[in-house]
Amino acid sequence: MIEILPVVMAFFGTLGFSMYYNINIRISLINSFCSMAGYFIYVILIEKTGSLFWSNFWVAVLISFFCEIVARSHKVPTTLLLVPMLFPEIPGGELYNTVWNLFVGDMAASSVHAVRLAIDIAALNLGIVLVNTVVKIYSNISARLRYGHYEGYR
Amino acid sequence: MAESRDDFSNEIGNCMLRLGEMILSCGGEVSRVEDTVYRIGMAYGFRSVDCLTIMNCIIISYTDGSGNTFTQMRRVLEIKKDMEKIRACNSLSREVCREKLSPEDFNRKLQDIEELRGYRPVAMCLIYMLTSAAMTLFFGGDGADAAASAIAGIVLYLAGRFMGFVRIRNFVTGYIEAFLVGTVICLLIALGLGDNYDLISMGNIMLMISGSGLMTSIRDMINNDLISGMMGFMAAVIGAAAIALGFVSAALLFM
Repeated sequence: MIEILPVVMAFFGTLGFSMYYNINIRISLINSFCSMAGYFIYVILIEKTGSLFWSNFWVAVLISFFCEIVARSHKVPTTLLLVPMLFPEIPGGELYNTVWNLFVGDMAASSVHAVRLAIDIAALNLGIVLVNTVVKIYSNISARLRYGHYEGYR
Repeated sequence: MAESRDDFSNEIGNCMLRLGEMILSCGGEVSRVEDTVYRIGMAYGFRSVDCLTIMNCIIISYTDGSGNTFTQMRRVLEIKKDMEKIRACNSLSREVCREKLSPEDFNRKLQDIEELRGYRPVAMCLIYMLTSAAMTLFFGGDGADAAASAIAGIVLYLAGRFMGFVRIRNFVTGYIEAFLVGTVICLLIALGLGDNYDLISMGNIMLMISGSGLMTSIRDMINNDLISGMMGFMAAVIGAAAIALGFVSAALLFM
């Protein structure tokens, strides 16, 4: 059974977070809708697969891919879209819980949260870097074919 | 003539560095700074452009058409996330590459970006309230928890403004902010507004803790920007430690 309230709150949380980063309202709304959709997919994946790693990974892949398309069509930096869209999946809570339990002396709980934190971060970043690399390969090949040389610093 | 060409190269170098500094200080990625500086330098016909950026420092070295080499360095002391400025810098960089602006025009446009203002204080305060309340509900809190979280969000905003005013950002200020917010949450719970200290705190923490900083740092490491990645990672962990310690202290003292 999927709870709707967290999915809806992912929308409002992302809206606030986007505006907190001083992103204009139009892009903030795009971010919020995509973030809500992304979190909905994440919840479904968690329910179907039970895997924290693969759920985060596939959501990161989907959102990164979508961000690359929107960034190119609207000529805006990908960061502007990617960080807020992944806001509900960013494991700020796990980071906090890891450190909190460390301070209150509950090493077992701290370790559990640290492992979850590592899985979340690894999966999200792998998804992002994978899409980013594929897009770079495509850009380099098309620049090479079109202009005869590569573009960009590296 | 040679001197004026040198001046031109120097001026453009200054502008490139200023643009890079602005991107970095607004929370842009290291690779974006390096790529922007490189593209602008090449657009102006420099023979070679090298840029090394770490978390709070940019070093550029470039050789102009006459074979003169220039090296400049800039230290970025404060990073304040502002995505709208990054977007404006990105647009300016495209414009500069396309139209090769004069140094005067380039500087004027940089000044325009620097003067961009964000949301007004009242709107910003509402944004803190909205995000804090929404994230408390997101983590499973109820209406009363969300209301307490929104009120704590106001305190968080005011504390952040004060720390910005005194221009100090370190472990201790992170701790003080978290302790203040934690104390207010304890007070609200004692007054009967909200029950779950952890869920209310979590709503506010999402604005305080650098989860995105942690993600960016790992991405930097995967992308071979090891120095920036390690520094960002340490900054995020130290920041999280300060915040957690602040909340733990408030809870132990007042709960």
